[in-house]
Formats: sequence, C-alpha cells, structure tokens
Amino acid sequence: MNPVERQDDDSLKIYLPHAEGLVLCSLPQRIEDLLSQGDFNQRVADRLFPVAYEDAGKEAEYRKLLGDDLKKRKLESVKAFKATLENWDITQSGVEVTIAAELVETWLGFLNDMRLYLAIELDITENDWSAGLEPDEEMSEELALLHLLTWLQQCILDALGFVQERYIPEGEEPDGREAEET
Amino acid sequence: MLPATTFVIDSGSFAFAGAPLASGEPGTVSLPDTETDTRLDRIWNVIVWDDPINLMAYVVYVFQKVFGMSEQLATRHMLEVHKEGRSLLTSCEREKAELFVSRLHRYGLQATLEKQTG
Repeated sequence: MNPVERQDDDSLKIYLPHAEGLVLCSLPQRIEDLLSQGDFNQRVADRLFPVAYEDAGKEAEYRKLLGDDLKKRKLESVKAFKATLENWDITQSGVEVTIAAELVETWLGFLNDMRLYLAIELDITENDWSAGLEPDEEMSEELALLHLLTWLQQCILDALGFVQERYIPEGEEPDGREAEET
Repeated sequence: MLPATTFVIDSGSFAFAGAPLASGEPGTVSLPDTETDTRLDRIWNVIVWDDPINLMAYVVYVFQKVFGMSEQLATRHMLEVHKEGRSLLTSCEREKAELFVSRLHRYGLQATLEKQTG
C-alpha cells in the first residue's frame, strides 16, 4: 500500500513508521550544513551544480549571469522541507506529514538532491546500486538512507500518477539490470 | 506610389513593405548564405545526460514540468537518455536554452548546451 495519499486539494499526506519518520526529520539539517559550508566535496558540488557549457569561457559567463540563484533555490527547498516537517503529527502507528500542493515539487527536488548527494558519497556509478556489495555484506547507513529516500520519492511520484513500472523497458529490472529469463 | 521605406525581414530574404516576399520577385533581395550561418550560430541544443540515480518516473515528471511535454513525448526522451546516454530536448536561442538548462539543473538533471551545427 502506498504510504502517500493525494488529497482532494492536491496536497499529499504521508504516513511513515516512527523510525523512517525520524530519519526523514534529520535530513534538512544535514543538507543545510552541507550547502552552507561552501567547501564541500568537489564531486558533490559538480553534481548539484553541474556545468552548462563545455567551453570554460561560456561557462564563466553563464555562472556570472546565474549568480547564486541555484544555491539560493536549493537552500529555499531545504527550508520548505524543514518547515513541512515541523508540522508533523505523531500517531500510534507512526508519523503523519502533510505536504501542501504548492510544496510537492519542492519536496521532490529536495529528495532528489539528497539522493544525488548520497550517491556521490557512495561512489555510485551504475544503475545497480548494490553491485559492490558482497552477498552477506550489510548495507551502510548511507546506502540504506538512499534506498529509503528513493522509495519515498517513488511513492510520491506514484501518488501523482508517475508510476515507475510504466516506464521500465521490457526485459529490464527497476534498477536497470537485465531481467533474468524465467 | 513608391513603397514605404521600411523593410520586412523574413528568413533568408527581405523586401519593401507591401512588395511580395517570394524570392526573385521585384523588390526582393536574396541574402547571402552567411545569413543562414548566422542564424544557425544563434541556435543552441539543450541536451540531457544519463544518470544512474534519477528515477525514470522523475525524469518524465521533470520533462513535463519544464517543457510542457505530453507524457508520451517525455517518456520517449527519457528512454532515449536511458538507452543512448543522452537526448536532445529542444533547440532554441541561447538565452532561452540557458533558461531551460538552469531549470533542469534545479531539478537535479544533468543538462548542457551545444551550439547547433549543420
């Protein structure tokens, strides 16, 4: 069952178990710190603020024109995400959060930035994220978080009508691997 | 009566206002090929690149949001990125292309601009 429900006013209601809810609430501080540092991992910077031009001169012109716009917008999305989480409800079964319709896009963007950040930290370059793990190896905290955020982002997209299974080419698994023949 | 002294510019030719625009007609002057080259010089391609992290459904969502594409077209571009590693999303003037790229970056997609050739 999808833990994300679309309401009549296009807001989304998310129901999460306590543990997952608490993990979610710890995220804004993590990425806010990261964006405020300014001197974070160059690979993370390159991915969150990618180049638009191959030509260095044109890229410099573009960056000058853009200024801090992208960074400001990303920080705004962290704040909006944080503000939503401040109004969560703890119920017997877990945590309940409502995302206003106008913030759904911000949430999706924030979750994606967080996933990109984790993927860089984990050095993920293949569609199959667990490819480097030995069969009995336990997932790191970061990889478990990446899976949790991916699942949540997918649940939100599902609730909006963007169901991942519809887009996966025939003969492929959701993680990009080729399906095993049965 | 003489035609007005303003010019009407239309791709590849210009004419006095009121005069027919078809090439070879009186009042129409064909522009040299360099004009076509200049036009091409102004057109930039917006390219999006494959990424192992962005979800297929998310990419379709972003294409629809940024370009107002139908789901079918957005899906076609997403699958092209997935299979070929890149997809040409649109071609337009530089300023507009930069705007599209900055919006794609805001959503976390890897996008670049390339000058259109040929």
